[in-house]
Amino acid sequence: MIIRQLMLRQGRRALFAPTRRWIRALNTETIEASLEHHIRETQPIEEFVNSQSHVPVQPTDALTSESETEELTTAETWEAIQAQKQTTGPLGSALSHLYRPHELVNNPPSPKDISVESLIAAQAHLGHSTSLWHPGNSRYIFGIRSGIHIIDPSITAAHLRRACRIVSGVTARGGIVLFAGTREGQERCVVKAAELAGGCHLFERWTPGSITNGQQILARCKTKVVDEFDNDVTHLFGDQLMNRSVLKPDLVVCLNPRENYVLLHECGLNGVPTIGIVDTDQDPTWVTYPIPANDDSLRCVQTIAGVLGRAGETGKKARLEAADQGIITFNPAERLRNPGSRSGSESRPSR
Amino acid sequence: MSSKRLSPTANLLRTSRFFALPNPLPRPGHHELTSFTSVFHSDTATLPHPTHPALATPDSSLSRGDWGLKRNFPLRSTTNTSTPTIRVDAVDTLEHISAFESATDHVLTLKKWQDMNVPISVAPKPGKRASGPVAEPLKSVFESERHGTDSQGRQALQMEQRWKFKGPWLPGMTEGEFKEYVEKEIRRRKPEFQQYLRKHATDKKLAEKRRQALDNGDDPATIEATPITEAEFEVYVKTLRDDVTTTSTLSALINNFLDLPAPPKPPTSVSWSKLDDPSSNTLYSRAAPPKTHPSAGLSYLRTSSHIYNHPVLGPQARPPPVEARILEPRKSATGQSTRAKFGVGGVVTDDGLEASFREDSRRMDGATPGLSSFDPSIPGGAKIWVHPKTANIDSQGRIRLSVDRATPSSVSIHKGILDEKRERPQIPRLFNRRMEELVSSPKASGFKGLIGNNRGNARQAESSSQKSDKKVSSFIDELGDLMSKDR
Repeated sequence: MIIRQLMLRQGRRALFAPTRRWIRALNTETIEASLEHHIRETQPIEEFVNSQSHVPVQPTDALTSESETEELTTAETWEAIQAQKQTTGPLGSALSHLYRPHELVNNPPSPKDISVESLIAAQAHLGHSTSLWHPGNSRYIFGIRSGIHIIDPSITAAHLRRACRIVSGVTARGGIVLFAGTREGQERCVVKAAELAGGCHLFERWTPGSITNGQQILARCKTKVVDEFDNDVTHLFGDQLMNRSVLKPDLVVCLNPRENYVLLHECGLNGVPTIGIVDTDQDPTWVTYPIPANDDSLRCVQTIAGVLGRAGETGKKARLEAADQGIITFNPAERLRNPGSRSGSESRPSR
Repeated sequence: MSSKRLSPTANLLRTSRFFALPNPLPRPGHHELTSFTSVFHSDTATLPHPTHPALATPDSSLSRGDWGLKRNFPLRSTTNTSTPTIRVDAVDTLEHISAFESATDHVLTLKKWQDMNVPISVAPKPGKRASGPVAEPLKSVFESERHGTDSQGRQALQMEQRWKFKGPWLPGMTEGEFKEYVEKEIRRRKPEFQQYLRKHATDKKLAEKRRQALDNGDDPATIEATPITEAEFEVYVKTLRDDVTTTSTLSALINNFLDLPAPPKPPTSVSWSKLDDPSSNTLYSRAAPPKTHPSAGLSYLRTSSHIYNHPVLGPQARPPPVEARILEPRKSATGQSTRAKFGVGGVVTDDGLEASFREDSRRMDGATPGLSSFDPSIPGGAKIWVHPKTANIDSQGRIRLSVDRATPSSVSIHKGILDEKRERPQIPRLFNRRMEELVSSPKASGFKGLIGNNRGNARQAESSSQKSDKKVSSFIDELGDLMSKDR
């Protein structure tokens, strides 16, 4: 038979297997035998050294020399794991600039964090369908893509920074800021912004006439008097609050102006400045200071509300710091006579 | 490039993910709406190929309905699925809503195809049946002579191997589209074409002169190109225009200039008997060139010549089979056909085995319930195991798959039902035999450590060499009992 054919039919088994067996036969000492030989040689040396010296040497073969590895207790294992974690924990790459959605509400960005990138990431540049546009927004529109208008994010950033200055200015002078966002899902960011800025919030329907007819609608609402450190000093003023007119907000931030036309109209009639998120289908003249942005995406609304809340917080902090140094940044309420010796006081509504 | 001239904001927008979304492809089957296709047309049917990109979102955003688009999407329709992917038809509409639907159909099809490991091959030439006896071997669409991505390679590519052209496919145009193409696209390129023709005529004149020089015994390299005169050019163009057949030089020049797919050649006198002569036509002359790369991104494998390695049984002749749904048995309501229809990985394909009177084929049919005729008693519908064989994408973007029936042994291996001989793993037996050899050898007393290592309870005992002999002998007895049980 030709060897080539043998190769084809029987393959490796026919040709190479006998050779391997033959190689193994040449080797007189197997691995096990050599290991056994080694142990037999080293054990007497170990015994001799141990008998001569009081410092025992480490055995070369742990299994034959009956020294058992002691079992760790549960507590010891736990501590070993903790030590391991401490050693290896800081190794590797550190992840940064991660987007965690909950942080937009829990720990909102501050005005210095506003960037075109963050606004694009928050979908602030996505306007409405081109058929729905309001021509008043033409100066904010960057172009058309996928059938929708794209809002210029750099203009959004500029208008948002301006709005931040307004909010912080109002809170620095002890004004009342009302944050209104009545769409589903906006409740938490509205409340958080009001909390940061020390203002008021509205996440349900605006009762029409609360400003224009406040004397009737809010007659039963309580008001309080606070001093420059925001301490409640109502008890000092007796019944002076009974005959006062109801409070009006000094600034209204509206996150969805389309649904709150009545609120904005009342503010306009009463000279209350307003800030609003203006999408491309929205008349920008409804609000005093428009922020052209996407008002449908919750992420965008949360970003803007958070930034404005942080701005209000900085203004409030500045006012309290000034009060600590004896500087009062606001005018005292009119027609409110202080029975004590206090120089300034401020009135606030309580909801 | 142009990005340097743009403002930083424009650059950011250009590189944003929203701007990276491609425009949707036209709906397949739009042009070929005949009376036949319109009968089976459905708006909600899964399209033969995806037209919109499928979008996904991280879990934290998914639970908030945030998909990075104009507005948040309702949770009920996006989260109540194991594959939360969507395709967006309109980002915003007049009704202030975003139109979206689930993209699970195509996403899952792609996943199934990645599992099946089928390489995509070049579509067979027209006139050949994919399932019939194929004369030439199938070639992968990723062969280097076919990809044609670099400019030199594109020039070198033969006409029939190309799939991408700058010009349109003229046979697929309507009268109106053709007129518009001529008036809007071609008319403004007239001077350019004149230049092209003139260069061609000059080259031709030079070649003619060199040929004459060679005939006269001169060195052809000394002949210089002379510019063609206006009169000569006019005469040349006239001769070109005289030839009105589709195989004329002028028609080839036009095809080259506009980069059109080659038109179907008329049958020659030799091939009149067979109307679809494969040799006379290129790959995409009768059907339009494909809309995408011929692999369509379904698979990036170049070959199926790899061996599947089973973790226990080792290399296998065939990869694991896939389960196919029997969509239409041989005897259906419409009549009896020789081949059943299967649904494999989201694609309808013919049964690889034709019905015959051969004993084995009838036996195989009998083993699979629901194959020869519809069986309503099978829970979940009739299914069959198959091996995907070859696949290609036709010019309409449809997947053409051919399958073989799976062999019974590959099915049982896939299901884990091994035969009696192979059921017991081989390793412990080998180990036992080796142990037997070791223990019976005269050196066995030196192996107490090694043996003890393999059996936990034998480990504590041995300390001195006197004790160890006794221990080892008892251990050997124990081992012998074990082995006799094992046998």
